[in-house]
Amino acid sequence: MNNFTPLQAASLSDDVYALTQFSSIDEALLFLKKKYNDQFTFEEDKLLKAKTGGPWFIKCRTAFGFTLLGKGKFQGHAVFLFRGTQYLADWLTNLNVGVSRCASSQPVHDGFNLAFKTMLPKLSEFMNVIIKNKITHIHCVGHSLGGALATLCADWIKSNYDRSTFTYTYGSPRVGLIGFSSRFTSSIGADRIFRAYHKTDIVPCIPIWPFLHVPFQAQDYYLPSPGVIPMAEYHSIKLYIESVRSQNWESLAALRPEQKTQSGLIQWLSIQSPIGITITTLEWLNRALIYVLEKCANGAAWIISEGFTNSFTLMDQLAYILTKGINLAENTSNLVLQLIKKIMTMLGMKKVVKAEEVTREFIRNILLRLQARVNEFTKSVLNKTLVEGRAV
Amino acid sequence: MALTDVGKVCLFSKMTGVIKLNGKPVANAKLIRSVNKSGKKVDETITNEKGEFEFPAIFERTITKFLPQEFVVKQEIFVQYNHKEYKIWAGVKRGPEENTEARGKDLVVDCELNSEKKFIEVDGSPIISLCTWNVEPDVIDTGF
Repeated sequence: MNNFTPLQAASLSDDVYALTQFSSIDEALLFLKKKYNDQFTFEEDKLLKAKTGGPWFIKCRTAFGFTLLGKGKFQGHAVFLFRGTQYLADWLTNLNVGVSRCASSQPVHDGFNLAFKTMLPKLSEFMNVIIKNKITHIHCVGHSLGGALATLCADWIKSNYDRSTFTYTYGSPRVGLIGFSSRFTSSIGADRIFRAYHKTDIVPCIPIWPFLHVPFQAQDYYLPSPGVIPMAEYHSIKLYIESVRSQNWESLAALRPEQKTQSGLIQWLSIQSPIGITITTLEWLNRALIYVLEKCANGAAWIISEGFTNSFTLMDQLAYILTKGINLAENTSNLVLQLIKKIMTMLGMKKVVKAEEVTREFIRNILLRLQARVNEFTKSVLNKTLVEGRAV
Repeated sequence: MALTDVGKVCLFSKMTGVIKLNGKPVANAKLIRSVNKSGKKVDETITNEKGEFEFPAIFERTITKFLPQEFVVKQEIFVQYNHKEYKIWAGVKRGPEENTEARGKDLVVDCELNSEKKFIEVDGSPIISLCTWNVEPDVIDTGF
């Protein structure tokens, strides 16, 4: 398979933060040599090395990371390495998230897509180096926002170039909607997607639905971390390294709790006892929402229309699909009602609703309220981090 | 921890040491230190007749009500002496605590201007330097 191990990919995800800080190529090369056993280099380092004082890493440095070429055992391999930034926070706490089209024409988070697009000229240029050096394997790697960028990069490479492409992410936020998630999984190959996340890392919980993780309905790498409440602490890449050290992908796969089954989801929806917003209920809700939406759209390519310029239009589109579901066969109609009731319970709303009252406006309103509540929850987690005196 | 310490992070720990050239202490050498987290800060000092210098710790208060950020601070120290400039320190501080550079101990360095740059990693923070100090380096294992 030629894929990196969990530790290899996590180390690269960590070291891109330091690598982007060195101001001379000599320092960066020394760092790579000592930490990576001389297995990687920058493009044409000898040429660049001669130009001291000039602009360095012209082709291999992007706004969010680096491109590396493999040496020795990794001859024929290249790495696209991305880091997280404060920029991520601005987008994740932005209520008004829109979607736009990625390289494979699927709907993805507009903020991440914009960030990725700023690097496209640089990345396109580097693809010439890939071709010239007869690279056959490309590894897209990143932590946090860097994970989202690595995912978009893999999508772009796969859409434009015929190369074996691997994606490794640690604590990545959700990148796109269902169309993106399923298309990405089939084009890259589920066995070439390695998404690792701590149970209590807040970042993989956002943005909330209808954003979905990759791979779609396939193996991801769940890493147990203490507690049940999402925290900022377990987003740290250093803690990810510790969690995967001395593990391989197979042993990590075994840590995954049992997947939620269809009957489990139906049962969860039918229980109307009070529930709060926790990391577990959010995961249930996310899966239930996708399940119900799929039923409503009858498996058709839903939610692919243009113009989700903000969360109002996005939620309106979801409300439209759910409203259609209410008018479908009785069992689908019941599912939608149960979902709406479940959301209302989570919001602490006690009002009893009947099918005829559940209009598109009503559903949209409920969805927007839920989104606002989840965002509030997310922000409170982050503020708590501050109160505890942890430097963020 | 006092409330006033909330968000207080260390960008460069207090550093004392001696600058030497071919084994001899260098007097009146100018040291220029810079740190960069979310903006560059620069300060300077001059070695005494014994080649000794001292830089105080640099702190910053970060009150960012945002997502967890990786702590990443670029650290550089240049020495100007006899019309030549030497980069004696290029580090990336990855932990907000004081004295991460020396694993919790005081940072006391011995810098030979006429030496090879050495790479060391301490507590996850890489440093490329002409200086040596009393610290146990990290065992590097990136899986490669």
